[in-house]
Amino acid sequence: MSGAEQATAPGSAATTILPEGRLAAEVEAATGEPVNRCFGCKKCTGGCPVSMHMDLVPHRVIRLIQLGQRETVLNSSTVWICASCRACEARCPNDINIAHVMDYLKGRILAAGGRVAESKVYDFHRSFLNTVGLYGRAHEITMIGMYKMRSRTYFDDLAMGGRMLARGRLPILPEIIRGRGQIRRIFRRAAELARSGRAGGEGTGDRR
Amino acid sequence: MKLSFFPGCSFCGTAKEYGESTLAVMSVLGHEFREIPDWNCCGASSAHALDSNLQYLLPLRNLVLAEAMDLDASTSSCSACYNACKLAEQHILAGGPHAEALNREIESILGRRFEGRQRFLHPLQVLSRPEELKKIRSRVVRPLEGLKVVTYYGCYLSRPPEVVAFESPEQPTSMDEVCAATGAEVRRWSWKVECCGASLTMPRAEIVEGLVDRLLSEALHAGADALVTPCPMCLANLDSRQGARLARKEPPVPVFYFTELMAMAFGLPRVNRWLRKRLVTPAPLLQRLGLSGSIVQTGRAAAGGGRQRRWPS
Repeated sequence: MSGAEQATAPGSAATTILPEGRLAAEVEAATGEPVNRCFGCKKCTGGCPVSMHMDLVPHRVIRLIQLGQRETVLNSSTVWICASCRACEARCPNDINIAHVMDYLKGRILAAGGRVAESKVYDFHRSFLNTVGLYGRAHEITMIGMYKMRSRTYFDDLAMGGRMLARGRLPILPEIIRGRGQIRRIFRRAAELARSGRAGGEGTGDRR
Repeated sequence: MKLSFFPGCSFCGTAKEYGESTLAVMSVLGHEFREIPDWNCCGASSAHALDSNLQYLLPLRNLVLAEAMDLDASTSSCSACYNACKLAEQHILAGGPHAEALNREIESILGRRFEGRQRFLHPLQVLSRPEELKKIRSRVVRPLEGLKVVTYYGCYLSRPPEVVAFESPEQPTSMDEVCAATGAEVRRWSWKVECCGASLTMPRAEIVEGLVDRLLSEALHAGADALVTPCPMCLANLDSRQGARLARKEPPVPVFYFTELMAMAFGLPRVNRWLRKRLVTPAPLLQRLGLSGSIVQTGRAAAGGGRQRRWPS
């Protein structure tokens, strides 16, 4: 984790990093995002609404990709905390779609069966998509149930859930579309395309 | 205009009032909305996070179904749905091997491919045209005088700018114009396109609470009494994550959909039912401004107490 030490404490005794271009080349090839163009203007970090909750702020992630610090990047909470608001992408003077890079890195972590630094965020996305795969539409109660089982957060937001329910904002029954066979095929084919190397992404198979 | 309408999953529950108010005000203005038959979820904030192909294939099915309806354009008033559909539409229209592969997939599943004959629009794109604004003003029976609001657009209508934005991505004005046409006073502020934290609201509620608190404070600082938004996810977060204000014993800040402001100004009777779904009731504010005429004042909800949560004042 020498990369992390140097990245998070730049003033400390220097650890030598030997720049290594394979990670940057891999990210550029898979996403089409020119990460090597980054000259560290930090506009992405300046405009990031959630940077204070990340262990590596966005421009550091890009810099560590340039330096080939794979472990540090893939273990960071940043890729999961990113809310995909895309302010970084809109303001990057070098046209790097940083949110896209974050999505690609999530896919790399999941494909390699690596550690998910923010497992509850993954649990949420997975529960959401599993619900859509089941009904063709999202359904909050199903999704929240799946999420709570996965993340073991049984008692979070219970009072609010009750208030939402009382106001008719959480329908009890899901809406199930007629074409859910088509939705299942879409999920299956998306996963197969990802495996055959078309675009990034983990596919839709559940890794647990 | 005859428009195909993709309601989006939130219109089945958490944002039912947004769907109903959109249909109501668009029909007052003479636009015909037809629901896309058997539409599916667009993937919202989760599909792109875990699967970059799913991110395009899910909305693509809706685009193909909408195209088959052969109307003037397709729309969704949910920002997340608009964003996902617009991204998919532009990805396919840009061409290339990945786009072609996706279109072939959808053709093998639905028996039709996406031709790109019509564009996906957000209702604000239609409503902010000069002739539509004129029509809105002519339909106003109860101008919302004295109601001070800031417009909060969020991320999905603005970013990525080159794909989804239909106006300035940093200083959008379409919703300002629509709100001003209802007689409300639109205050200036710098937080129109900031992020509310979106789906982090479940796994990391405290992050969203912090972002929401900042937005509400800035709105009040700008002299507004309420926020107006076109996004179901933003409204859910703004309405439900006001815990930081509660902890400081500060009064909560109500949030409206822009279509509800229009419906109030048009004097549509169902506004009352829609606004009662909010966790933070706007009733005291509307009463203070004498605007609750359209809001039927019966029951305890009208007093801001009873079924609505009582906040310390």
